[in-house]
Amino acid sequence: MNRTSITMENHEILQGRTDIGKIGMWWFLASEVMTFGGFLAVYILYRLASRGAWAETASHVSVLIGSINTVVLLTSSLTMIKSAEAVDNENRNSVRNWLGLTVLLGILFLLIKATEYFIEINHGFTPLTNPFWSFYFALTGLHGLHVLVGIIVNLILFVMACRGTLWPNIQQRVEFAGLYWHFVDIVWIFLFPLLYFQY
Amino acid sequence: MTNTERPHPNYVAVWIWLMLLLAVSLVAVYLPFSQGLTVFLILVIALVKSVLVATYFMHLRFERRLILAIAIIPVILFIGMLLTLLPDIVYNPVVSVFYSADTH
Repeated sequence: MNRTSITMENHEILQGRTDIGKIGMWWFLASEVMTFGGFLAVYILYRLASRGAWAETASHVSVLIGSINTVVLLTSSLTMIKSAEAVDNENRNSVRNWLGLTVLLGILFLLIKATEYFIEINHGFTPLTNPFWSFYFALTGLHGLHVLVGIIVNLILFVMACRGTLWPNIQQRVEFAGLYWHFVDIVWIFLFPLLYFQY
Repeated sequence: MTNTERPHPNYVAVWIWLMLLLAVSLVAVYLPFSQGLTVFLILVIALVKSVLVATYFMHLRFERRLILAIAIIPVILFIGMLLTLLPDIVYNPVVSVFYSADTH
């Protein structure tokens, strides 16, 4: 065996190890699709079954605030994938900066959501008000907890990027954290129109 | 190990499309369609946006078939569950009367 073929074998072995981690992360995301999917399916069905009766109480959510939050989260997905791109370009400062931006945007999303809850509860809309509001608080609350977990993971990666300890295993970690973050974004892409739009 | 063979599409272009689709969905909601048709349109636009995020941000476009299968099968199950329960919950004349909201 010459030197080139040994290098090729090592590359394939490392490639295989990367794939197993990626499969594991996708497997986890598939289970999350079932969790949110089940929840969302029930909400959609009950809302359709109400034949428009939920529209009046549902009109008290703010489409404006929800749209702003959507822009915030979609942009945070962009900053997350830019940090993954920076990993492949071996641009360490870029990785750190994009990760930091992602964390900030995630925190902004949760702050806006908390403000929304504050306004709605002050107007008398709580999880116990009626079925629509139960679904609203439960769905956005579960999603918000997922966002919080994502923020914590991204924050840890950001601190590691600042200290320089991220680099040995960096590519997988940023990539997998990115997969989770994009998934959380996709869940919101469905939550926003289903909860905030009038129908 | 860095992976320099991974392709990177134009992520900002994808982001612009996502913003445009958000604007389209906001407009579509104010059109006078029936409840069922509005839900259908909402889900279609949301699906397109999700496919954009999954294909480009999550690199599904460049992944192997096993990962595509893991990603797509739960979505199919979700749609199947929705369609299967539709006759029992939405089109059931006896039961559906209990699902209206009381507003305060």
